[in-house]
Amino acid sequence: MSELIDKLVNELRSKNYNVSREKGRIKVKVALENFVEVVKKLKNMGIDHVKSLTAIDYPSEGRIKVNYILGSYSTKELYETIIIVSLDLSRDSPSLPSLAKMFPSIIYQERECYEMLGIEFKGHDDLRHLLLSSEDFTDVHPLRKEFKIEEEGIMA
Amino acid sequence: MSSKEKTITIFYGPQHPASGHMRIILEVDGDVVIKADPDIGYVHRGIEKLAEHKTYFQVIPMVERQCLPDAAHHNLAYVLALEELLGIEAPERAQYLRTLLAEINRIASHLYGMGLHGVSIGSSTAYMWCFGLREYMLILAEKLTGARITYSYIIPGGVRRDIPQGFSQDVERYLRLFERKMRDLDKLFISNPVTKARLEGVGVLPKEEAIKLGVVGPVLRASGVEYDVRRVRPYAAYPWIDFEIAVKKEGDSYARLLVRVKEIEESIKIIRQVLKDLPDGSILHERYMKLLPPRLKEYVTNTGLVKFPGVFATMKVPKGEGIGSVEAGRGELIYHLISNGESKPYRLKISTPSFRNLILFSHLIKDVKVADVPAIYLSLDYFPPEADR
Repeated sequence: MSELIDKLVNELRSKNYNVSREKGRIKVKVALENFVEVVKKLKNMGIDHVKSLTAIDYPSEGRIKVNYILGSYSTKELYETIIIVSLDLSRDSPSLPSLAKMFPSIIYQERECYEMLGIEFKGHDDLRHLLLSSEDFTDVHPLRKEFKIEEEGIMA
Repeated sequence: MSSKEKTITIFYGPQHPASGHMRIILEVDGDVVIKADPDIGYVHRGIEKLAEHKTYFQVIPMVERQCLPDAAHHNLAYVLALEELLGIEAPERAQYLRTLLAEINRIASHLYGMGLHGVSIGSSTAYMWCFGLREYMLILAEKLTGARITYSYIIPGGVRRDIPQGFSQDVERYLRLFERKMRDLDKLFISNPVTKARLEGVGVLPKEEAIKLGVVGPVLRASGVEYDVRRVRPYAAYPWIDFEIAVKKEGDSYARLLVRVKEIEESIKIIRQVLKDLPDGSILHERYMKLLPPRLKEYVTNTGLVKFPGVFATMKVPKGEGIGSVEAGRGELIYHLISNGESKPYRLKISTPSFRNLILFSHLIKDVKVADVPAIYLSLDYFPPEADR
């Protein structure tokens, strides 16, 4: 692994963030109040786009876990590395700052996450429904666990 | 508002012949588009949610169906994520066979996109020829897997079938024919002055913009970023295979077309290498091989057709998360699979290349003529069902 990645990990560790590293992946677990600071730091070190935004609903624990998978196109040494920044949100009114200004690549991913799990991204200019219709799915979030798929049985 | 400033809103799709299952809401001033807003979701099937209701093995055929021209890569990315959770890696021969199918599929997928691109700028012949050429690849895929489009060939721990007898010779015959016909296609469509006139300098995406927007695949490489998942995070047999990454720096619609053409050439090279270097050995991981009763095991070894061990139906997967990323036809494809130790996925997130390129509609279709909209749109090889999932 390159020096740049070592530097990146050390810098994050020096701030006492929870950083683990395995097989070309760096996982950073942050609290909501440090989230923007960590992402800014990563951006300054060459991370320039968001590959995926995965939010997972844990109803029994009352939380939603949000994972940002980040990568870099502008820095060759960081090509192989993917960085996963994750944080927990309260399930009742999940909201966190939008990264759309920092990484335009996340605009549509945040819109999808908003409608699918009801997470509010503060500062997003255009938080509309994307895949689902706004008439049927206002305040209905299909990827939350309480949303059940009705199965039609053949044997009625 | 004076009549001079009047703009008109056009709904480009979902019924428009060149729009696919989506629409772009265009604001036009005379013949010039001043704003484009993509509206997607017409073919959203909720695959991520459905995956939570199916066993790990049942998810394989389902994920393929979100992108039929490129089924093998969806199959592969899902299985890579699953194998990470299971803590296994397929044997070397299976890795080579996965690469073989992936490259056959990449050629088919690129030709599909090129054919549609051709017809969108008025070359019906290019459409027919590209789809005719794609047919060769579908025939090869059928010989290998038994299916033309939805292969479900890649399974946890290996692949479903070994190569049939005489396959290498068949491939060589088809590839020679294919290469000859590609030269004709080059004269007819790719180097055609009309194609150049319609595509050169149209929909230019500068390198900085491509990086900022986080676009993927041939679109990214046509803007000068040498990023290919096969090289940066090698999977399957790619660590052992020699190939070039197709890069162009112009960033226009024509460069995107040329990158695809170059990738088809590289894929042909990879297919030949795979068949030359194909190692001997099992096509299924030892852990599953030894679960088969002795007679079945003998059958699998002799015929090269895998019979699934019963454990596949009820497979419980250790708690954790797995990430599978591959370079699909349209670009970087990521499967993020979360397991809670049960027999069904707890959460499956699919980050598809078409969805990540969606942002380009509002960026590239701006200050262009209405007639250039299809030339730009189809140069992105955007596949709506893949974006909608």
